[in-house]
Amino acid sequence: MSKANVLIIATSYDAASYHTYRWAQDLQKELADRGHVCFLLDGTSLCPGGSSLADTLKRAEVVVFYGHGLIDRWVSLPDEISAPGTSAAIIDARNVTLLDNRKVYAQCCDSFHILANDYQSKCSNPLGFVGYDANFGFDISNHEHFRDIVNLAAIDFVAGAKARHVQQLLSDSWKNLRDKFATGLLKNRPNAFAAANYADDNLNSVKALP
Amino acid sequence: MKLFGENVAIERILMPREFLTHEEEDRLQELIREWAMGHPQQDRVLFVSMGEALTPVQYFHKVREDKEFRLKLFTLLATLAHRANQEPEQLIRRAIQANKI
Repeated sequence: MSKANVLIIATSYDAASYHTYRWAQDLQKELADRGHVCFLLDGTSLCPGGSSLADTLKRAEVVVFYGHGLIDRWVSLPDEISAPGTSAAIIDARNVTLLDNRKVYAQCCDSFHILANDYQSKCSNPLGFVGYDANFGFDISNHEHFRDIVNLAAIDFVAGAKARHVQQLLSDSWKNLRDKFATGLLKNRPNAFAAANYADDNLNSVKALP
Repeated sequence: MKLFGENVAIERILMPREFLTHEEEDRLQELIREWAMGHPQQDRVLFVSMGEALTPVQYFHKVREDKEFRLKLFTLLATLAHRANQEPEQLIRRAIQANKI
């Protein structure tokens, strides 16, 4: 297994990101235990072109984001409370070339649309982008099962797996989790039917480039 | 008659079992209401995705009011249940039971 320098960017400001931030911390530990160099940055303190983001990206071969995404950005801060109320971006069209020569694992909603296309078209050497083209969701009562799928795929990606392979791994895992919650080993868990539905949504929206 | 019978049989094979009658949909919705109202954490955010954080009660309201969400959920439950030779309402009844443990 090859060793890689990994940058994990994670945000935490609401119920969803509170949990995914802890998934990111767990991932950092898992990667460090496997001998990788792994930074974990709090995305809420980052802004486009910020020196800490650019400096840290220079040292990363794989960039992982855990938080909220929109079709054209990874979100660092939620919508402003007054008009026009736009969210702040960590990465968007203005600075997507910072991801050039790096593999990208976007554990958030929607960013496989415009942001992934920007990565593919604006970077001279895009090495692979794994993400979701619709909502990513989970049931907090069963979040460990969702975390394990997300983190194991990230570990595979860091260890050298191609984006398409990781997409297939995620597809298989979400399908398996969906079936376990619906009629399998996890069928008696609290909220199992709702958890199955979230796993199915994730199955349908996971994508990869190239 | 025989041909008609064969057609019915073929239709049963081709007709996806995920299509529910209105009565079946109403029954599933009522079971989800029972699950939500009896949930030990009914006012706590448990279901999250981008821009959405739902308590069990809010999840029930979404099922009731968002037709696209409801149909997708019910179709999935019916498909997975029938694949395991179960009825879709069993999936929700298990969640109701899990609330009591």
